Amino acid sequence: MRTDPIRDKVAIVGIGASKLSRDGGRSIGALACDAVRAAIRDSGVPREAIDGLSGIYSTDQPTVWPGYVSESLGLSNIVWSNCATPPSANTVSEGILAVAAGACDYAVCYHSKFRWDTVSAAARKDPLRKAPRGAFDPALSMPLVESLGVPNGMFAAFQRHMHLYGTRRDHLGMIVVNNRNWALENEQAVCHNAPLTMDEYMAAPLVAPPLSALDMDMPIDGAMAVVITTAERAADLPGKRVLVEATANAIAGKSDFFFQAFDTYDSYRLLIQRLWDKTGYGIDDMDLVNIYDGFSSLALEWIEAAFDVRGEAGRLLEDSWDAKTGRLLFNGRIPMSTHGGNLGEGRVQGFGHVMEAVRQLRGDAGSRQIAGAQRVLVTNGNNPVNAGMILRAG
Amino acid sequence: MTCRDGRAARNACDRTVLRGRPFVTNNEPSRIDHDTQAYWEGLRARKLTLARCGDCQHWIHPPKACCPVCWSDNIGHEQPSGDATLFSYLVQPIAPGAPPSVVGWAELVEQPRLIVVAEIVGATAETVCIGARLHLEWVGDGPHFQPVFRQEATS
Repeated sequence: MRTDPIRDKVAIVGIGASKLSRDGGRSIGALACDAVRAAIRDSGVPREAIDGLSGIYSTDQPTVWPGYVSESLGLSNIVWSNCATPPSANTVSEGILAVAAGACDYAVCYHSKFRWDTVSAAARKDPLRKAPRGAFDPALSMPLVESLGVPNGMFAAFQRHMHLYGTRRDHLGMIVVNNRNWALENEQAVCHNAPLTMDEYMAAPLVAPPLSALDMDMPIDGAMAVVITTAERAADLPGKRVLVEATANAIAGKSDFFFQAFDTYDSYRLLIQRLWDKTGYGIDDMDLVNIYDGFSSLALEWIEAAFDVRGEAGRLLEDSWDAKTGRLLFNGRIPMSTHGGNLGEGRVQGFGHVMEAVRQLRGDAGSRQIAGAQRVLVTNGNNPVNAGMILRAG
Repeated sequence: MTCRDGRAARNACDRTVLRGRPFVTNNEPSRIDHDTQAYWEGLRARKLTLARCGDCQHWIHPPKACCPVCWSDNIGHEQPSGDATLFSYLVQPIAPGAPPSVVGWAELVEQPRLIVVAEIVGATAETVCIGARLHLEWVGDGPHFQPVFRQEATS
């Protein structure tokens, strides 16, 4: 087993979120400030002590950079700042690394999402939702497919998965219905009052065959943030700390977003294996898996990587599905995304998966609480932008 | 050139490629750079022109300035045979009432995972088939030619 300078040395000591909604009546900047203030207050760290700030420069939508948050909240002792690639766990991962390296003592990591007119047809009628101008094409390949309407390779990936392995839409349905059912118990979830049955899922029109709108996370207004410090400093703070076991992100080749990213999802396997290598754990050491579900088909690929069942996600999902409760329990014991995931809680690009891990490990998850939860696997993102971590109760 | 039901190529182009897409639908992309210039010039001459390493012969698409295998900067451009198999596809609704288009990820026979993304003709959402043999064809009038791949009938 590798020795690791991060393991048990870094802690998450505060979490905070804005209201999550289809229309919060506030700007994307205000949402970020709502989350950051809430996280700092939750941590008990004095505002003046915050010296690290990390956001996300999103590929699909602009968001706010650390300078904006610093200016808006009077955080003027920042000695380390950063804008990570998405997904949300990546800004958290960057903060963990910065604290472990001593680049800063108390890092706030945030992400703010907004229902811009670029992602929501309804938003085009709202003059307050006009996205900042400027296309973002970091792989430089988008012009090659724009005449085709920039077709989404992730959908083609699931098409191929069905062809190769006999995977079916109802397998995705188990993921979607599981997450939506958990969201019913999460008061901040956008789908808190919107139950969904498997029959309703199967009857949904296919807007991008083989996927329906229920397979895609909905654009919302919402921001989330965490405060990170060393485990040692965390002991002096009032709240319960959650320790970092390991964090990673991975690029395993074949990563062009439009041409290759959907090929084998080897990046997911590389990332998961890295987490196991760093900790000596395996999937059965986890008490909860918060699996990224920006698209349900991505969750299916993450499940294959996490449970090491390439091509057999369908069978694993069938074995883990309880039709009576409409929920998944892997290996008879491990629930998935008890906050509802992106599909149930709303699209903060996987930040909710980190937040829920912290709540569960603090014992603060209310009716969703997993008794005695000690370790949570969090996965986030696509190929080649992803992040994952293992957190444990402190 | 005629399309599959005998109408002129221009109409074929209108029907299969130019219908109500949100983006530009000819070979004038929103951005050309040093690495993609040869690709776009090729399309104007009805030639699928892909980057290929002049040293180790590795095909590179999307085009890059450096070979990912041998790191050579000696990147040339060549036309592949146009034979391919269907790696995967996406059925893409175009407009209410109109049949959807089929966008294919065509894996060229020249190299594993050498993929060109293009519209599939000769197949519908019902008959398109992963693994089917494909062959390159062209639609549109010059200089706005579009590569498409025809799914060959299975015997």
